[in-house]
Amino acid sequence: MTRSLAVGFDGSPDAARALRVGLALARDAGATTWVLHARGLLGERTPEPPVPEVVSETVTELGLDPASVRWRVEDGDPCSVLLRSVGPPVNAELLVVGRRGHGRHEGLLLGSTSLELVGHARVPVVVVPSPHDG
Amino acid sequence: MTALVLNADYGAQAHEEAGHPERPARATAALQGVADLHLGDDLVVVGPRAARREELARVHAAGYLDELGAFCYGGGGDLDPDTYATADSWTIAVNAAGAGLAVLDTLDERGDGVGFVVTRPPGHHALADRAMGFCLLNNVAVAAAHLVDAGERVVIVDWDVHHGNGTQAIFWDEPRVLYVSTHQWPLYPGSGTPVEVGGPHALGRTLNLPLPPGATGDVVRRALEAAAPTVEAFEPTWVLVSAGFDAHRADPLADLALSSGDFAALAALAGGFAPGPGRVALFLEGGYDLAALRASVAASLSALLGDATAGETPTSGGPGAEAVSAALEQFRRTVEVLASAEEEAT
Repeated sequence: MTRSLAVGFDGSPDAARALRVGLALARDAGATTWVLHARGLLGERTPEPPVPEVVSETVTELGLDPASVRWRVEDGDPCSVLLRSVGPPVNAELLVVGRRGHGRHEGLLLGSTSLELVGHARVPVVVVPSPHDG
Repeated sequence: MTALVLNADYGAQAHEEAGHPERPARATAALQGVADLHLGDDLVVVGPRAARREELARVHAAGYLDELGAFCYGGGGDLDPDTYATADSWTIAVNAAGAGLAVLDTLDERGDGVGFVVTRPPGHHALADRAMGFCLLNNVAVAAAHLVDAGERVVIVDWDVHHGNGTQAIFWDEPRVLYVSTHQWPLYPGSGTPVEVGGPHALGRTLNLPLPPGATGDVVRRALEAAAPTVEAFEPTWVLVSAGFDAHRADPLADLALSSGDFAALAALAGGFAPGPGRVALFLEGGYDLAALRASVAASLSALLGDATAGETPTSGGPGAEAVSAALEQFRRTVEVLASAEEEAT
């Protein structure tokens, strides 16, 4: 039984879809959901960026106990952050990501977090497609 | 002593994205820092050259080179939330990687001087098969692999404020390269802990000395001094420096608190690792405050040319002194444990 799963979240529409799938899976399994945000070279560097509204809204909408959902910001590229989450403190047994994140590039060749994860993860990976994916 | 500086005027203006901190003005600022030294005949400008495919393929996967080239020629775009490429970026990156080779070859021919490779985009985050952290091709790794191929032993000193995860990964199991990094931690890219010590064939060839936010120059100097016995035991024949200047207190991307004078001290220390003249080259990595970059480049190069007191007053009093000794202890213990585990396994 899955006790902990990690969802990669960069604020993109695909990440929001992945969040919804991850939270629903966690609810059904009675697992803790860790919503992970990778802090790159650019962007905010405040110690504790607030939980995005879409996270709290989706938690409420799906009727989840807010205590079962953890928000965590880590330094690194999204792929490395998610790969590291199989270790403590997250101990993820399942990774959930959107097909593509904020980048304009669609991720068939370079820098695709979802493809990198599928290639390197030691736990199962759920890749949530975009509505545009055929 | 002569300074060999690469002429960065090879069209790098075309690698630019509006508002991005890794911008053409950085190379201009670095070259202004060189010009501030008024070196006259002691300044030799080395012409650029493109790295050949086989030189890039020593450290990068063939498929990645094909994909990156095709992506750029297709117009470019964002490779990840931090990293961009334009239609011209492939040509520019290949010249950036070749720049180091041109400087190394010239140093080798002359048997004297210090090299300063003003290139962009920077390189130390680039992995064998992936661009990241503003980096497309790993310039310092291409240069180190070129030297290793010629039978040399290379120490790479990386004092950029971010850990050079790409360089570490590329030489993870290469016993002829010693990678020494001081960097802020935690910070992007999230790697660079003292327990990362190298692969089974290269245990102890990776030495990470992470420092807390606010660390001042005295702490970073102490870290490099603490690394000295490891470097000396390695007996390098070349010293390459991943010279990022984003540990400067004015830099907008990180929180270390160095002055330009601290970089002079670091350059003097790194230069001291060289076995003789003509065996040190600095490679520009990060550094996003233009005035700090200009002053720090001038101070570093000045120190390598003999004046270690150049630049702003060195800084001291920040946190992290204990972090250096703790990191070294963790490094030693990890190497010991892994070495005995290897021994038992064989």
